[in-house]
Amino acid sequence: MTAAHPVPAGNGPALSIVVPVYNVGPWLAECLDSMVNQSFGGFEIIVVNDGSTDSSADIARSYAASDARVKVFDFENGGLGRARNRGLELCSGTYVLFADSDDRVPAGALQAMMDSLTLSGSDFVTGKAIDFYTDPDKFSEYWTTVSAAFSRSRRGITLAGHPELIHDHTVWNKAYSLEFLRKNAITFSEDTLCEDVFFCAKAYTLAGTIDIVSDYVYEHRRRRGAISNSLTTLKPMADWITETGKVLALLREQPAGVRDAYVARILRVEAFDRARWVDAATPADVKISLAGLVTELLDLGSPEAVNAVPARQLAALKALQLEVICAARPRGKAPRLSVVVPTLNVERWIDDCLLGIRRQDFDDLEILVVDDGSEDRSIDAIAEHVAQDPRIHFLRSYGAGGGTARNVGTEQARGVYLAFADGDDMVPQGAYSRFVAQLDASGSDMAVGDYIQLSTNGVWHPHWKNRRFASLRERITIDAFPELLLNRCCWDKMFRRTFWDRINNFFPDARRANDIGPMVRAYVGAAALDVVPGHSYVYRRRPGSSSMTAKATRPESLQDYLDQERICAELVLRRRSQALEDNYFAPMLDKDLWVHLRTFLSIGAVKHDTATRLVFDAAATLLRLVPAGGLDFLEPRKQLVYHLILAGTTQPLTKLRSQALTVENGGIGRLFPWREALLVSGDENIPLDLRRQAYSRGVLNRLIHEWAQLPAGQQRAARGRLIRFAGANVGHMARLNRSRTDILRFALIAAGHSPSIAVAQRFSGKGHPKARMRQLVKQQPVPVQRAARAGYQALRRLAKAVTP
Amino acid sequence: MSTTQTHARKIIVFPYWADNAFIDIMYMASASRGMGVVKSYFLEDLHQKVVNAAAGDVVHVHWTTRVCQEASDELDAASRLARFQDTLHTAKDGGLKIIWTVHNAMAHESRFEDVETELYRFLADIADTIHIMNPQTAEFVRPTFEIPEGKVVCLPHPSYRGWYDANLGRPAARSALRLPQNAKAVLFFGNIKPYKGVLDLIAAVQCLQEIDPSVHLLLAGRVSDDDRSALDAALSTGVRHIKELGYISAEDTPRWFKAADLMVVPYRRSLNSGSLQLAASFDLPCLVPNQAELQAVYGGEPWVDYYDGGGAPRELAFRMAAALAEAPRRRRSAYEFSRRYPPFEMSNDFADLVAQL
Repeated sequence: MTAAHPVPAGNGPALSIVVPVYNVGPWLAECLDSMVNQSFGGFEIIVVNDGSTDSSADIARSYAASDARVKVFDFENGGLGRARNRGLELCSGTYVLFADSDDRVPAGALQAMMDSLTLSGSDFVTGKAIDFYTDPDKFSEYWTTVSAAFSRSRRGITLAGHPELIHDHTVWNKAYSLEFLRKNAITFSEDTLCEDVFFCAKAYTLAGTIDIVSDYVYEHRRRRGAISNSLTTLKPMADWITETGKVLALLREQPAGVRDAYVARILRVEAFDRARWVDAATPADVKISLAGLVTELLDLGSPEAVNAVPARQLAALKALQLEVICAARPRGKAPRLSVVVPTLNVERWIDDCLLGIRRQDFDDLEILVVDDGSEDRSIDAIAEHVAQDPRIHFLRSYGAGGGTARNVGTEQARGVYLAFADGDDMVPQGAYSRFVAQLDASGSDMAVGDYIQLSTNGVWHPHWKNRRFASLRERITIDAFPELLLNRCCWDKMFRRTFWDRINNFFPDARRANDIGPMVRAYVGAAALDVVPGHSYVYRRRPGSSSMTAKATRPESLQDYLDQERICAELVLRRRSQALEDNYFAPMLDKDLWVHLRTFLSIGAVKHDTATRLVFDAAATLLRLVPAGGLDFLEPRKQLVYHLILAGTTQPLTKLRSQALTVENGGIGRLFPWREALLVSGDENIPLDLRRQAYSRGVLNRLIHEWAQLPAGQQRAARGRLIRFAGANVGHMARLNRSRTDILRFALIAAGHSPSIAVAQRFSGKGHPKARMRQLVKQQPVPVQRAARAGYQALRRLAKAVTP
Repeated sequence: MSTTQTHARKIIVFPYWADNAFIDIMYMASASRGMGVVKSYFLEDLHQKVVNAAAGDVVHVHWTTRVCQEASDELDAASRLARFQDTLHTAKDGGLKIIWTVHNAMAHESRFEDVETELYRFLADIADTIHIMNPQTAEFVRPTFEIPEGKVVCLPHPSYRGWYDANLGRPAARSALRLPQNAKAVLFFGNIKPYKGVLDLIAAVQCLQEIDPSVHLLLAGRVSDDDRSALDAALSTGVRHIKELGYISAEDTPRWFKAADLMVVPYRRSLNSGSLQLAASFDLPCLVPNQAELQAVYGGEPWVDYYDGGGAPRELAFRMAAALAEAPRRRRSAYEFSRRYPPFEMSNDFADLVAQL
C-alpha cells in the first residue's frame, strides 16, 4: 500500500469515512484498498475497531502506518450502531460517509458524490449500489436504488418530490453533511440489528435538499453470516419492528405521498415477509409487536395505498392483526355450545355462514373461526363479524390443513356441546336449538341430523336421507341403526364435549375425507346417540367445483382418502358386529371407494409411476381388510378392479378404457385393450370366473372381430388359444354370457374353415334363440354345416382344463 | 320413542322459473327449515296445487306475466284474470296465506293495460303480505294501484355473492370471449327487449368507439324473434361487439361479468334491478339512467353512476367514458355493497316472514 494522496491542509478533510470493523479479516484489505486508491483524496478514514478478535485490527493498523488518512480507534465490542456513533463523534470532516468493512467503494465514487455536494450544498447525497457475490461475474442492483429517482443524477431535490426515496434505507451509499447530522441529532440506533433504518428515514425527512448520483457509488458484499441475511429469526424480527415503528412515527408529519410510498412497500414486502413466518410457535409478544406495527401501517396509509397491496399479502397481515386482537379480547362466560368454523378462501360465502349462525334462535354459543391461511378477503369479512359479535373468536392454523384447523378450534372450545360448520356452508334456523334440546333431554353422547344440498341448480334433498331421518330416535347405538355409518360428514351433528375428549377424537390432516375417520370413531364410541329429524345443515356445492374434483383426482389426495377409509374399516372391524360390517363394507366398496378409484382411473392420464403405485398400495391395504367373500356381491367389473389391486397386478389398470369404467353397469369386456385383458386373464391370483370373463370378452371378442385381418400365423395361434378356451369353458358359456351365436362362432373358427369364419362374422352381435340358431345353420351351405358340427365336436374333444 | 313429522308448511310458488337464481335463493332457507316448495309453472296448474294444499300453506305470487300477458286477446285476458282470482279466493277459503312480491310497477310490455291494472289491484287487496324490495315501491306504483301500508314488508333484493363461480380470472374470461386483454368492455346482460334501452346503448357505444376504438360492447341475453331484427339492424352499423343471444347458463354467466369493466343498464323503466345486484356480486361498477326507482335503492353508492336517460347517444357515450375511467377505483365499493345483504340472509328473512304468517 502506498500513500497516494496526502492529507489536505486546512481545518479538516472534506470527507470522513467511518468504517466499523469486527472480525472482517478476509475482506478488510479489499475494502480499505478501494478507498485509499480513490481519485478523490481529501478524506480521512476512521476505522472503529469494535473489539475484533481476529486480524482485523492488525490489518487496519498496517494501513494506518502507511497512510496518514487512516486512523484506527479501538473499543470494546458494542455493535454496529454504537460503533458508527463512536466514529461519528470522531469525525472532523465536513461530510461523512459510512462504509461497511466487508464492502467496496468503486473508483470515482467519492469524487462524484463530493462534486455533487460541493455544487449543491445539499444535506446529503445518495447514489446507486450493487450487490456482489463470491462469483466475480455475479452482481445485481441493490433494490433500494433502482427506482425512477435514480434514473438520472439530480441535485437539490426533496423527499416530497420523490417519495420513493423513503425506501433508500441504507447508510453506506450516501455522504452526509456532518453539520446536518449533528444539528438534527441524527444518530444510529444501538443494540439493534437494524441500526440504519431510523437513521436514514430521519435524514430523509429532515433534509432540506438531497442529491442523487446516478452511478454506482457502493458495492455491497453478499455473504453468509452477514447481518442482512437473517431477517426472520426472532431478534432481527423484533429489531425490525422497533425501528420501523420509529420510522412510522416520523412519517406521520410527512406528505401523503411519502407515507403511502412507505406503507405500500412495507406492507407488500417486509411486513408480509415477516408475517408469513409467524406460526403457532411464535412467541406471543412477537405476534403482538408485529400486529401492532401492521395496525400502524394500515392506519398511516391511505385506503387507496392499502387496497393496492395484493390481496394475498394483505390477508396474511390482517389475519395476524385479528389473531392478536382476539387473543387479547376477554371471552366471557363459557357458553353451552361451541361451533368450530374452519375457513380457507371463503370470502364469497363466509357472510352467509356466519350470519346464519349468529341469528340462530339458540344464542348461548361461541363461534370459533379458524383460518388456515386465506389469501382472499375472507379475513376482512371475518374481522367485521368479530367486531360486531363478541361471541366470535378468531384463531389461525397457519396453513396446516383443514383437520388441524378443526382441532385448533376444538382445543379452544369451551362449550358443553361441540358442532362444526364449514365457512362456505350455512346452518338452518333452529338447527342448534333442536340439537341442544334433544341432547339435554336424552343425555346422549351425540346427535345426528339431516342436511340439504344447495347448488346453482337449486336445493336437493337426498331421498335416502328422508327415510333415515324421518323419525326421532333416542339413546340408540350405531348397532341399532348401522346405516348411519354412511353419514360421515361432521357438520350435521352435535357432540357432547366430554364424549369427544373421552374417545380422544381428532381430525387428521388429510387432503380429502378428513372427517370420515373421526365420525366413524364417534359412531362406534358413542354409548348412546340420537337421530334428530329436521335439516341441520345446508351443504353448498360450490360453483366451479369441477376444479376441486380435478384436484381430488391427484394421487396424493386419493391416497389420503384411502388411508382414512382404512382407519374407518379398522374401527368398524374392532366393533365385531356383523350388522356394522355389512352396512359399512358393502356401500363403501360399491360406492365410495369405487367412485374415488373410478374418477382417478378414468382421467386418462394415469401413469404407472411411484405416486400411482402408492395409491394402489393404499387401496390394497384397505381391501385386505374386507371380510372373506366381501367382494362377491359386486358387479364383475368392480370385482375385477379390486382383485387386480389386491393381487398387485396394477399395470393394466392404467390402461383402462374410461368410458367402460364410467358407464352404468358396464361389463368387463370393454374394460381393457386386449393385450391388458390377456395379462389379466393370465393372473392366477384373480378368481377364475373373472379371468374367464376378461379373456372371453376382452381377448376373444377381439380375435373374432378381427380374425380376417390377422396374419396366418396369428390366426393359427389364436385358433389354438380359442379352442383351448372354449373347450375349457364350454360348460360355462352361459355363465360367461356367451350367446349361442358366440358358441357357433367359436365352433366355426375352431373348425378352421375359412368360409365358415366369414359366416361367423355375419352372425356377429346377434343373440339368437336355439331354434333360430339351428335354422340359421341349416340355411348355410353344407360345408359350413359340417364345419359347425365338426368345430363343436373339436371343442369338446380338445377340451383341456387349462388357463386360457 | 319415535315421532313422525307433522304437516310441513308448503309454499306454492307461482310462477316458478327453473334456473332462476332469485327464486332458488328466496326459498333455500325455507327449504332448510323443512318447508316444502311447490312449483307452479302455469296458471293452469296453479288451481290444482291450491286445491291440494292444506290450511296454513302459502301461495307466493311473483311476476304476473303468466296471468294475462299470454292471453290471445282482451277477452281471453279477462277470462284468465277471472280464473286467477277464483284460484286465489279458493286459496283464501282453504286457509292458505297469500304473499305477493312486487317485481314491477307494471309488466314491462303490458298488453291489456286495463286488465293488468285490475290484476294488480286485486293482488294488493287479496294478499296477506306484500313483499317489496324497493323501499319506495308504494309511491312508484301509486299511479296504477295502492299498496295497503299494513301489509307491506320490505326485504331488499339479495346480492348474488357466492352464487356464481368467481374462480375465473379476468384474462381467462376475456380469452373465452375473444376480447382483447386491453379492451375497455361495456356489458349489457339480461333479456334484450326494446323497453330496456339496448338500442340507445348500441348507438352510444358506437359513438364512443369513434373516440376510443378500444371500447367493446358485450351483449349477452335472450332476444325474442320480434325484437331480433331491430337488434340486428342496430348491430350492423359497425359497432364492435361480442354477443351471445340466448339463455346464458349459470356456468357461463361469470365470464361476461369477469371480462367487463362496466355494466350499463339502460332500462327505461325499472323498479327493482336485480342486474345491478348481479353486477355488484362480481365487483362490477354500473352506469344507469337517473331514475327515481334506481336512486331509491342505489342512490349514493359510489359504484353506481347515473346519466340522464332520453338524451342523445353522445351524452351517454360521454358518461360511459367517464364511468370507464373511474371503474377500477369503484370495484371495491361494489364488493362492499354486495356483502351487505347476502343471499342466505335474505332467504332467512323471507323464511321468518313466512313463519310469522
